[in-house]
Amino acid sequence: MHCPDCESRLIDYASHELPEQERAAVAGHLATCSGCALEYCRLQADLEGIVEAHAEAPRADVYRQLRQEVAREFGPSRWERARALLLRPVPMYGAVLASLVPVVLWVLTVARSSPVFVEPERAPATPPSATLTDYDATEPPPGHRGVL
Amino acid sequence: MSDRRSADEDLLQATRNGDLRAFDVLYVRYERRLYGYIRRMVADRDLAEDLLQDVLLTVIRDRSYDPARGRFAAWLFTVARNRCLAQRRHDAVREDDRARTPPRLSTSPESQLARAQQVRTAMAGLTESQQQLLLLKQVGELTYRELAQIHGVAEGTIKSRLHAATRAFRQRLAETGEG
Repeated sequence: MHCPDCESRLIDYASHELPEQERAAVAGHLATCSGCALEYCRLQADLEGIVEAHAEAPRADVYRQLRQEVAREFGPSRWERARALLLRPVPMYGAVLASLVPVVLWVLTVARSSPVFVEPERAPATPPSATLTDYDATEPPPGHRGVL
Repeated sequence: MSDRRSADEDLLQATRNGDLRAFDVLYVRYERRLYGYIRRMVADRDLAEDLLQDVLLTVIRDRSYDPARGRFAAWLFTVARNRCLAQRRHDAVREDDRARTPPRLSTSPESQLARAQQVRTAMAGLTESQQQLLLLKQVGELTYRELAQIHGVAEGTIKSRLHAATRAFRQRLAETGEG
């Protein structure tokens, strides 16, 4: 492909409108011809400039209002939402936890109804020291007591 | 339905089925391009925002759209174009000079960039049909075939018109840059 042939196809090439065979030929020429490659880059920049100069976002209110309108018109009703919640598949860990609830309740019930185990009093480690229980220091010794 | 690569048509169907996440994806995908296009067609910002809502609700409500007959983007911009032209006609009846007045340039920070100003100035120098073609091709990303369907002409005609519009735009852009 020669430069004039390439240049006449650059707009279609940039627009992705060339048949595959022609597209490959133009790409091959651009890879070897710096003049056409530069022209293509300029064309691309100019065309992208159109997009950049005209891309503009609306205010956030627009999105909010539009979303509300779509939700009101197309969103599911309360009944449909509740139904979907009920029909929602239960994950496996949820099923396992749910099946464990009766077991836990049974264990708690059994533990409460069984007699309480009381630990017996343990003997002291050291024997008690000998003590006098019938001794009164205010009384005279037995030898001085009256016989009668 | 949060996949960026989901087809527009699937997102549209999901939105109709009440999936608001699909609507979010669709909105983000077209928000700037569609609003930018409408903004170019009508001067008033509030009116452009009303039209944006109107166009999006129309395409979501209208179940006559058949994906087999064309891409969603082409249909969306066709609806936007028709709605904007109708608005222009309506405005022209009320204010005769409105249709001839070029739309005001945006005052957003982006528009203050010199390059964007040059592009807009160059675009303003083109004929109305040339501007339409370039905007629908570049901003709307429509194909030659889709443009031909919208304008009701042959694909070859669109191709030659688009080539002429592109050459004219680039020439004016070069002149604006030099000036």
